[in-house]
Amino acid sequence: MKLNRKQKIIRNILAVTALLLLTWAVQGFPALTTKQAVEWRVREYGIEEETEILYTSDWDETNRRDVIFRVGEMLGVTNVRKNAWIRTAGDIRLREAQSLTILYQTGRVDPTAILLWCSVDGAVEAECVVNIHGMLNHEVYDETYEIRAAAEGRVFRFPIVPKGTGSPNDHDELAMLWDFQNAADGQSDRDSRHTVTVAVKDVSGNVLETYQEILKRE
Amino acid sequence: MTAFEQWCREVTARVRFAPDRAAIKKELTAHYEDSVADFIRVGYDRELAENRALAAMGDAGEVGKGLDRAHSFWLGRLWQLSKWTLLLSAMFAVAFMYEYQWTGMWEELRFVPQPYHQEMELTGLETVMDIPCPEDFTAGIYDYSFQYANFMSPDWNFVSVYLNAYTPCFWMKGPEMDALTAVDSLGNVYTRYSSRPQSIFGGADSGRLNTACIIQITLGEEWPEWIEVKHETAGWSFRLELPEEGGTP
Repeated sequence: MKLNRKQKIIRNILAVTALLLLTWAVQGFPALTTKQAVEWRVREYGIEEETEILYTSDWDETNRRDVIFRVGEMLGVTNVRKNAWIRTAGDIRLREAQSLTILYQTGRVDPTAILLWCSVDGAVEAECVVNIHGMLNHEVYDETYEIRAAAEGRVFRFPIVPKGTGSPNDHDELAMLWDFQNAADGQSDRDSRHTVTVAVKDVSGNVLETYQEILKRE
Repeated sequence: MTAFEQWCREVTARVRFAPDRAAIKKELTAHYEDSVADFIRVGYDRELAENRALAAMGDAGEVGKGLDRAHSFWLGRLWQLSKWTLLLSAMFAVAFMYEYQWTGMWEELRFVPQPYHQEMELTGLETVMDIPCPEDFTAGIYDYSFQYANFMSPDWNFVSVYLNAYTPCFWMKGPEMDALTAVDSLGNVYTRYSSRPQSIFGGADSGRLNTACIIQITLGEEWPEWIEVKHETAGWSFRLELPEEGGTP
């Protein structure tokens, strides 16, 4: 049967749709946008409430970005990975929204960054002091990081940069930062007690509000 | 250039969808040549036949306008676009399907959880006692149905609960089971990766529509009357009534 031009167009559109659906299927039905990846991941956690994306960082060199979102009264953080046109969201961490809400990055193997969601009006800069404290090789390990950050909307981002000097002891620092990351997820298997203190400031440098929390093995 | 060729050029110049011009020219030429042959057959000499045939073809402007309408420019462009898109999609699909396995998609979609107690019988694992399962429930996009709950061994004090989750949302993986906690009748709190004896672990063997979920609870030395398992983010919970120590459910 000879098709006219309109029929050929319809045939081609149907064929394109079928091919794209098949490609999507063999890839495991992945999400195509960051928002979609986060929304689907939230549903996989059994949460039916609407997901509102509040913040997305830029893609880093490992093709990952942090995403802060709101579901109901909770704030969540996850890590979205990009692979060509596919977007995959990792584990999510939810916390009750407060005026200052500390959100720990997920899906990281390397030293992490701490994200702060701030709903205090007028906050333009913030300071974060992270004390890593615990037992390592039967000795007390104690290290403090002081990090400053400027506001990115309502978010402050504090990357923890290891102080390593190239000595063998650098492994200790990385191990304790790894423990800090695990403690944030309630998975620490060491006797550790990490403290995170944040203070947000206005343009004149006046402290508007402070908040402290301790990550400790239960 | 002959008069017909000149006429033909004027006609095709009015057709805006250029890729169709060659075919139009071919069709007009065939029609013209048939017409010339007819005139020659009835006794006209060639030159007169060509003149008559050309006159019969009509005004170049009017014919061109009609053909332009018949060979719609935008429909033609759309057709071209659909052809290129189809070609690109085919290349895209081949590139991705070449790299990935076909079987995974079908296996995930067709995945049906196997009855766990049969598996355990096959592997010879000792089931000390069965625990009555709570009622099935729905949470989020998943319908959960209990399959089996039991004690694996009295020495381990190890409770296993097997449940299946179904969702029509085939694009999602099975439910995330790593947010489980539990409390028991003695007031003990069970968490993941706990340093205390009491701990709880949840896992899922993911299909697309059906997912087999497992919850493993390690009890302390004292045997509680019940354990209430809760999924912290989804909010669902269920209570397992444990039989008396050494008794039957």
